[in-house]
Amino acid sequence: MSRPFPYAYISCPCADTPVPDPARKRRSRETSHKSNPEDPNAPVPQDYDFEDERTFDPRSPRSNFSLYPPEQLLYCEDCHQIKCPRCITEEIVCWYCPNCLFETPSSMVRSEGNRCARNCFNCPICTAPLAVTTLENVTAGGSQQGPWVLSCGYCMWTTLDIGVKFDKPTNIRTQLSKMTDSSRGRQMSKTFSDLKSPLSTYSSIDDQFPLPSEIRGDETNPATEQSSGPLNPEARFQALKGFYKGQIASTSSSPNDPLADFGAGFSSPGALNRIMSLYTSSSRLGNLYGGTNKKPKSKPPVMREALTTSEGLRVPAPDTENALIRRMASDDCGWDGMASIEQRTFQSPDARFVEDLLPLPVLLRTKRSKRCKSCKHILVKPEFKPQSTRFRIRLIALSYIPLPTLKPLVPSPFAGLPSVTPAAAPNLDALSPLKTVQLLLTLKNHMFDPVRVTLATPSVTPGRVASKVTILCPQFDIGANSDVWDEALQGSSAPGDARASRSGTLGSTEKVAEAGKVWDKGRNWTTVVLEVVPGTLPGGGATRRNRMKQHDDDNDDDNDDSDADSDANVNALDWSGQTKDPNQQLQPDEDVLEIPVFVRMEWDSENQIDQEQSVGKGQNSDTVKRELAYWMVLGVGRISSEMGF
Amino acid sequence: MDPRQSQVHLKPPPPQHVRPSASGSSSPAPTPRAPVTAHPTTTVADTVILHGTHPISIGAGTIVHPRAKLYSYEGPIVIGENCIISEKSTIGAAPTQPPSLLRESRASDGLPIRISSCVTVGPLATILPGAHIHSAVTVEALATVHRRVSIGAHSKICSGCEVSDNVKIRDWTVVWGSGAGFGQRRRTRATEKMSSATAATQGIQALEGRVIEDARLIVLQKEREALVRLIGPGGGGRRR
Repeated sequence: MSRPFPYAYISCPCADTPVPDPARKRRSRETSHKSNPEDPNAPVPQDYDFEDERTFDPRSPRSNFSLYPPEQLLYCEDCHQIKCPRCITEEIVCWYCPNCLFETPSSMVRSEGNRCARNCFNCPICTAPLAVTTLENVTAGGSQQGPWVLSCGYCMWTTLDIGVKFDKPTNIRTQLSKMTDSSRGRQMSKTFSDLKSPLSTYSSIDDQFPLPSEIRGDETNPATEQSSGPLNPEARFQALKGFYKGQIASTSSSPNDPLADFGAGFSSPGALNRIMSLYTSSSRLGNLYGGTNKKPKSKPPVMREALTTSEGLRVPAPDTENALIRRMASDDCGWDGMASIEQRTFQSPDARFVEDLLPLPVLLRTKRSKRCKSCKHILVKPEFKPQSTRFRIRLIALSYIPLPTLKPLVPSPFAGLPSVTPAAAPNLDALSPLKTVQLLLTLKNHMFDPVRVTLATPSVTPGRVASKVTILCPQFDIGANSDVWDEALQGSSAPGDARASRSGTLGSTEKVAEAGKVWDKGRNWTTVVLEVVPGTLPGGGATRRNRMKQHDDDNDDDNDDSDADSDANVNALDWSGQTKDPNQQLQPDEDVLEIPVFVRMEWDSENQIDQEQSVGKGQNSDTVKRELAYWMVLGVGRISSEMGF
Repeated sequence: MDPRQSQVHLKPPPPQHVRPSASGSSSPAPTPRAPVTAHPTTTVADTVILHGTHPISIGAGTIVHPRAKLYSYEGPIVIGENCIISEKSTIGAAPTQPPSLLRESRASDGLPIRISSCVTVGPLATILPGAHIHSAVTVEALATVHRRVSIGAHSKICSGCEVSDNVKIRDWTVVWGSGAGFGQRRRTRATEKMSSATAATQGIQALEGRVIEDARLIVLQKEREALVRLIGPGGGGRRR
């Protein structure tokens, strides 16, 4: 995956169990009941029943959506469950400009758009922030009265490049929009007032299409309007929007019209369904509307398109394209004079050249609070002020679940079996198959209660590349996250020893991994040893066979046998069915050795008053037994195709 | 890396080495000291490395910051007036072979580096032999100017950008953008009155784009003056 080896991901339990929402549960049960008789091969609904028994497969396409690095997860104290970004809801607390850190009210965001309304701009060329600078002050040493420009400190673009300067250093956004509005659509205010087309009131089909003389008469009007200047894109969008709204209203209001059923619902997604059903069940409709009295149904009124500038139509001048091409080909434009796609993304669609680019107001950012989807408990609540980076509430999962870290155990040559294991650290990006690797898995507890942990792993990893995994000590305790000085003051363990084992390389000369024994233990962490035998890759085995074939051609039938055998094997295990030649081809990331580990932790937590279950359970004891179980995936490394002998 | 060079990094060269009279031939150390001619108003820091066999000349009012490296093995270096050469920048190429063999192998004149007046070279920037940098150019931090490059006046090489071999960059050009994304781009700066659709209809009488550059040069001049005043004549750095 994306992280360097070794890594640990934690699977959010929401992937296995649907969100505890009764309606949804019912629905899922219904679908499973419904789909089972139809399609007995559908595996997914059936799986829900056996979810607890099943081994988590890190390679299955579903698990992609539930695996998160531990630091990205949250924890709900009400549900006592890990919460991933999919099982929370977000609410926007405030909008603010990251440049000037001024909060923008959400009503203003809705009306003005999510860009800073003050002085913050980004360079249209290189997106660096622009600075407001004066000219007179520097050149002539005069007072602060000089004209003002926006200038980019990186690419040295200034608004003088597009011939714009400002009279005041404040409210530059309004100054700039005044300039662009008056240049592109001087009559914007006027067009907003006559957005309603005079034609939009016509209701019947004959009136919908004006006579040719009318059209001509209409076109004289836009011609005069166009002389005063075309609309700017925003005004044009508004005009078109208003025009089509009027069209929908007028076409659907006519009597005995089948479309009248869903009046203004054109924009709703259900409208398409109903339109489609009009076509598919036309016979039934015929019975309903004209089946009995055979009256010829009047044709549904047809919506017309915008015809005038005030409605949002823009007719480009006939030689616009030629002029553009000529300008592109000219010497003073060239490649550098053209605006790139990235630059044009947020600009007006007509901006083709660098000179057309306008400074962009800075995009606003949000602060969000997060809630648990199932119980609405607040998980994250930031401070309201944009200037503050603090959080009022932040329940991250790492303060409730132990942090897993993995590192290879490098045995010293003096330990036990010097000939089998080399002293060098194994290369995790190229693990040689069938060679045992020992790994140290450290779990660090951040809770203030000691935790009892049980680890479980399938003895053979799921998938085609079957690696053998053994946890030498699957059951152990982790101490509480107590005072840091406790460890030093108690002096229970030699500090040098602890440090050496944590590094995993030095000092562990006498140590050999033993089954059933914890490797090392500290104040709030415990390390156990994982023994992994990486499996062979299917492609690697094939090449080995081919090499053997080159050596001796005699035993042909034997080779065929093994090929057929492996083919059958592969077909049985191939869950995706993407590969054409699974014997040779390795699917992407199939050589990554990932170990699913089931973690179950138990601890006695202090009683909290607002919990009902504790009241029910035991009044005399002030502790509650808690448990939490989840899958995690340890990414050990990549198995190389070559055998290391 | 040559261990001798790294030693030079750590301690400043003895003062007599940089004097034009004392050339490398007299000293027992095989690193040749370049013959330097500098204007009396030049400020060169103590820890500047001036190595090479060709002459190095530094113009009036120029400031060379500490630990800048000037190598004249492949050709002379000419730095004009009022330039700023920042820390740890490299002008010229370090010798690829041991310095003792250099004398025989090098060509007669080689590739000169010419840096005109009012040029700013940023920290850790590299300018390789044969570069001709015209006046008022800015080479930003970590930028690299390769061999035989000509950079036109009032241009800017933004930080991290590389200018390939034998490239000629026109006047008033900004080379910017590097790394992932859309790669390196160039842009021509405005020098006179620019007009655009926005400005034309507005009827703005725009200023010439040149005023921005004038302002920048004035600021540069002030920066140099302030630095000289801070260090003081003869204090900290050397004034020649």
